[in-house]
Parts: sequence; structure tokens; C-alpha cells
Amino acid sequence: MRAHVLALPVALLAALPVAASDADPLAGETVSVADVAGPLSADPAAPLWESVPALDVLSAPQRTLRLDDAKANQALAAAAPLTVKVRAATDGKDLAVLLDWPDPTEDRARDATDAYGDSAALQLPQRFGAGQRLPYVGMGDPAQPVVLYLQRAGPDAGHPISRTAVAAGFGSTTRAEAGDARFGMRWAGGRWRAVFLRPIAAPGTDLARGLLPFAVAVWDGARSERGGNKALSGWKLLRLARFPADAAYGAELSAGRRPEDRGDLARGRQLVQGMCSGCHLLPDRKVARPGIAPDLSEIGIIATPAYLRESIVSPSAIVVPGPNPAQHQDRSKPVAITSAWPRSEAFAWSRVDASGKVISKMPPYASLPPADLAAMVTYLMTLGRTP
Amino acid sequence: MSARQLAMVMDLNKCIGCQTCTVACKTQWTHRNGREYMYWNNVETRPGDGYPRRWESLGGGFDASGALRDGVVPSLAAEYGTPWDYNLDEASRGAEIGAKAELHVGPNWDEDAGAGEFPNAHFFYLPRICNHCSSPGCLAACPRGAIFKRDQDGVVLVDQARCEGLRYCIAACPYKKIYFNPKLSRSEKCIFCFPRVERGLPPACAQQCVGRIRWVGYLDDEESQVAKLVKVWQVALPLHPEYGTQPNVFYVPPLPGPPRFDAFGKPIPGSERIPVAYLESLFGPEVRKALATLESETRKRKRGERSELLDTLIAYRHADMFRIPKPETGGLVPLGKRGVKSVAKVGEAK
Repeated sequence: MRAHVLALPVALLAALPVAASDADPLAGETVSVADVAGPLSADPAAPLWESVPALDVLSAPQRTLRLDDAKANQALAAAAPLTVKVRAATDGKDLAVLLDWPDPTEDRARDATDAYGDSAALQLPQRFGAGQRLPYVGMGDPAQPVVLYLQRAGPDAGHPISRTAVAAGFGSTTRAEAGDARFGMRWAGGRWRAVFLRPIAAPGTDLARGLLPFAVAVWDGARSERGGNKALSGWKLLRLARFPADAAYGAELSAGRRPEDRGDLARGRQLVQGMCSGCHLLPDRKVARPGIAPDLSEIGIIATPAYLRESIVSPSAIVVPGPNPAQHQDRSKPVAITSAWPRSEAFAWSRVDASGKVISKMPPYASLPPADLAAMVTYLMTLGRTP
Repeated sequence: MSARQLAMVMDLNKCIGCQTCTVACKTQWTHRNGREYMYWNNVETRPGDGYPRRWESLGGGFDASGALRDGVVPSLAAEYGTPWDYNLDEASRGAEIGAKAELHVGPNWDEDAGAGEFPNAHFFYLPRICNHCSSPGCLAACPRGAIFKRDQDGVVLVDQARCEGLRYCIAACPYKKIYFNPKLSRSEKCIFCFPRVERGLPPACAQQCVGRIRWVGYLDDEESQVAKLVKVWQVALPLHPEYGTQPNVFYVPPLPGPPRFDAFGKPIPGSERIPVAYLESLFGPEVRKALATLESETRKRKRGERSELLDTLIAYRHADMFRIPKPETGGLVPLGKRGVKSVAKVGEAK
């Protein structure tokens, strides 16, 4: 079981970003990477970390895609967001990121058919900087792939099972070389600590920039979590003071987070409940048939304001590959010559048009008044963060 | 869905439970590297718990609306049974022979237990391999697209390079015929001995079957005895068709057997030792029609008339049971083309 996150009253939460954004709209989203003397180590117990400040990063259970493990789904129904403390340090040559999260049990992959190891992952965009849209947070998208560093608690406490991979959407994770990464994972006193360490410069993925987006995911083996059953964060930022600050990129990433971007929360709630609840599940309005569109109950944790705005105005800009259509047989249609039912298109979230472009089944809401759009984004960004 | 479908028929009236198929499969594929507990082919006693234990209660398959049903990943200790060793070294020096572990459950734990009380006890054997379904639950569940169904023969395989050992396929298979290899952290399953099939040979379990209970052929090949048993005579039925995956292993159901005895030891005319209702729970409502055909053909034969069906089931010539075209190359289809090429194109791959 995970510890539940302290629930903040709506009013307080709404007030927080305004206060923070007076100085810097990204303040609550950014980890200051500590500049330290090298060499860095992948040891999660290294004394260095005691003096490095942490950013609390909320992570939400993945509910966009439903998987079919009965035990995992039972645990998922009761799962709540959790806070991952993120710290980072650099010696100019390497970058180390430490994740620190609560988990009352130490679960390791072992010689069993139904045991799952506690795991953690760090996700970086393959391309970032001014002019580059952030990848879809769930394993990237075809236009913006991601690099993934994963580690899992295995039988050997000193050496986690680890891998480096690239992905461009759900289910596309493919092992790849991406920097000579090192890993370390340690459980003590009801918390995991996991270190991800890699060179700043690596072929095809150079991190020597002032602002580096990242996202994290953690898996709880006791809840049968693996693969898509996990808790994931939204995109956050590492600020590396050693490299030139990219003001233009900072301005792009601030979109939707500045005081002038904020909309009317009550109006947003009313609009979203009226317009979106036919297909999407919302925390206090669960009328849609599960599976026909992404569950938005905790979307405020995993999305950015810019992504939400784009999803409303232009849903086909990034199309999340929906549930595997092979999961659903269409029994209203005749069986094929091979005696198999055809796949049901009812559960597909997109279709491919004549030119080969993937079109979301969600209609674009391109002509919303700007104030209404801002209000909807403001409301959606609170989802998952309030009880 | 595939262009063609290779299928297997098993005649349960002829299965003697000798496990030669199980051993053929195990020595060929599953005796090493984390597969020790796996039985891609197993023979279980029915009525009984089966293998893995009570697999029919572990979910998977498709519901009436066509959506995948949630399932459970069986545990090694409780459902499959942890493999054990015997103290053969000690026994060779005079010690009493015994297992080196405390035993609670194993792959054939309730062998020959069956159901009913003497003199009406009854059981039959049910050999099981992967059904190489037309709508595989495992394929539908895999979030990584690591499972594929070959177009040329419908064999369902796990791409070991894509598989990450997530085990959603195991929950989704209602027959629990896909297994997790804890040593390699991958899912593995019966491959219908495709390297043999590609040389024109039947799977090892069918080749080695001493009871000659297994036929192998393409469902769309009218000359194959498989197609005749399944489609023409309709005496071979899928196991649990209600799971919605369209299995491609078919069973000739066991005849209900001799009549039951009453309290005085006298046969009850018209009674069934194996309840047909039980057979219906396994093979669906079609079982009554299949049994009626088998019984009427048997009566025909008893009258001295010819029955092509019974001649087929007797299997005078082993070779007639298998109709697997041998690719002209005689070799394996190149790895990259196994999922996509049809049989007709195999020759071109030379």
C-alpha cells in the first residue's frame, strides 16, 4: 500500500500557483540541479544527497489504458496519487537524478510466476529546447520520441535489473543505447531511493542545456504493478545552472502557468462537466462508458496546461494510441472465414484518414472563446490534486 | 485471424493418459532454462482440477460483449506446483526413495481421481496444448504487440525480442497455456512445433502419441482428416467455446461409457457413467450431436456396414493422420518472414 498524498483544499491549491508565478511560473515545476564536485556515484545512500533540496513530484496511477490483470486492477481501483521526491546533481560530466518515494514493502523480482519487482523510471525527451513541443507524457508520441531509463529490484540487492530504451507511444518501448547509464536502488525504512546516472553528453542525446524536461514513473510490485500499471508524473524540469539558461524555452514552457493564463475555475468545471463527461471519466462525474476515451480523473497530475489546451482545440495533434482493438471483438458483425470475430472499432480512439493521417475521434473545439478555454484548462489542471 | 489455420484433433476415447506426448514436448522444449515447471502439453484427468490447478476459474477470454475479461496470473507454488527432485543419490546407497521437498501440488496431482463412487466411478483424460486460437486472448492483451499469429498457418507465437515479461497475456489466456519464464523474464508457450511443421512434420506430441489420438492438418484442406472430423462429420469440438477465443484444437468427446450400476449391482439401462451434462460444460451444447453421430456410426459398424468415420478414428495408417505440406525449400522460413509470408510464398524465400 502507498501512503496517500496530503489533500490540499481547493482554495489553497488555486492560490498557490499564483503566488509562485509572481516570480517564476515554473518555480513549482523545477528541480535545481546541485553543482557538486565529482565523481558522482549511483549509490542511493551517498551522503551528497542529504544536502540537496528536493522537489515534490505528484505521480498518478495510470488509468488511460486499462490492462487485464484482475489482481492489479483491484489494487488500481484503490490506488491514490503519491509524491516522489526528486533531487538532482551534476559534476559537469555526469547527471544524477535521485527518486525517493514511499513504499511500505520491498518487493523484488524473483523465481516466481506472480512476483513483480518494485521499479522506477526516468523519462527524457529525445529532442527539447525552444521550438520543440514536449512529447506525450505516456511514452512519447511518433513526432516526439522519448528516452527511458528503467530499473527494477531484482534478486541481487546491489544490482537492480536495468535497461535503457526509446519509445514513441504506448507499447513501443524498444531497448536502445542512450548514454552509458548507471543505476542504483535501495529500500530502507518504508522508502525506495533510486539513482539514475548518465553522462551529460551522449551520442544523440546531449543534455548540456539550462532547462531539461523529465518525467518519472514508479511501480509497486506488491500491487502487481508492471508495464502500464504504474504511477507516473507529468513533465517537470531540471535547471542546470552550469549551462546557459534558455529564456525562450522557459517562456514556451510557462505557457498556461502565468497569472494572466488562469481562467475561472467554477466556469471551467461547469464547461468540462457539460462538454467532456459523455466520453471522459471525471472525478465527480463518472457517466461515460469506461474505455471509450482517456480517464481524466487525475489528468492535472500528468498533463501540462499547453497539452490540455492543444487536446481541446486540436485533438488530432497528438493521438494517444487507444486500447488495443484486439481486446474487443465486434460480435455484431459476421465472423471471418477463419472463424474469428472482427475487431471492434467502437473502442478505437482514432481512425486513419485517406492520406494516412491519424485522426482522433474527439471533435476539435477550435472556436471556444479564449476565456472558456482558459477556464477549462484551469479546472482540468486541478484534477487529481484535490480530493 | 490468419489466411490459413493449422488445427489438431484429439480423440478422447483413445487417450490412455500415458503422458508420452507430455514427455515428447518436455524433452523437446521445456526441460531447461526456467521452463522446468511448464507443461506446454499436459494430460489432465477429468473431472478434476487440471493444470494449472483450477485453471478454468482463473479468468481470461472474451465476455459476451466481445471485451477481454480480466484474469489471474497463476502462482508457481499454489497452481503450477514447484518442480522437485528425488533423493536418487541417497537411494542408490540404500536410503528410502523420496522427494527432496514437501509436496503440496504438482502438474498431475489428482491423476485418475475422477469423480463418482465405486462402482460408478469415472474419469477420462484430457490432453491440452495451446489452442492457437483464431481470436487469441493473449494477443489481445499484450500491451507491447509482442504476440503474433502467423498468416500461413495460424500458429500463435511470442516475439521474444518484444516480450518484456509483463504477463498480461497469462491473465488473458482462459486456458492458461502461456507461461512466464522467471529465469529469462519472458512469456513462453506451445509453438505447435513450427520448426517441425515447416519441414512437413507434425508436432512432437502428435508424432509420438502411442494411442494415435491426434490428427494434424489445415481446416481449409478438404482432404485432411482434421477438416473431415471438424467440419464434415462434426464430431470434434473445441474446449470451452464460450471463452470466445475460437480455439483450433478440437476434441472427439468421450462416449458416456457403460451404464451406471444400481444399489444391487445391476446396470441401469440407458444411464450414462460420464454425465453428458459434464461433457456439455466442457465442449458446449454440440456435444450431444457429436455423441449421437459417434454412436450411430458405431452401430453401423456393428451391423457389418462400412463407416468412413470409424475407419478414420481407428487410424489404421499413422501417416494418414497428418497432412502438412512440406515446403519445397525443406528448410526453415527465414526468421524475419515467419509472421508474414504465406505457405505459397515460402518457396520464394529460398
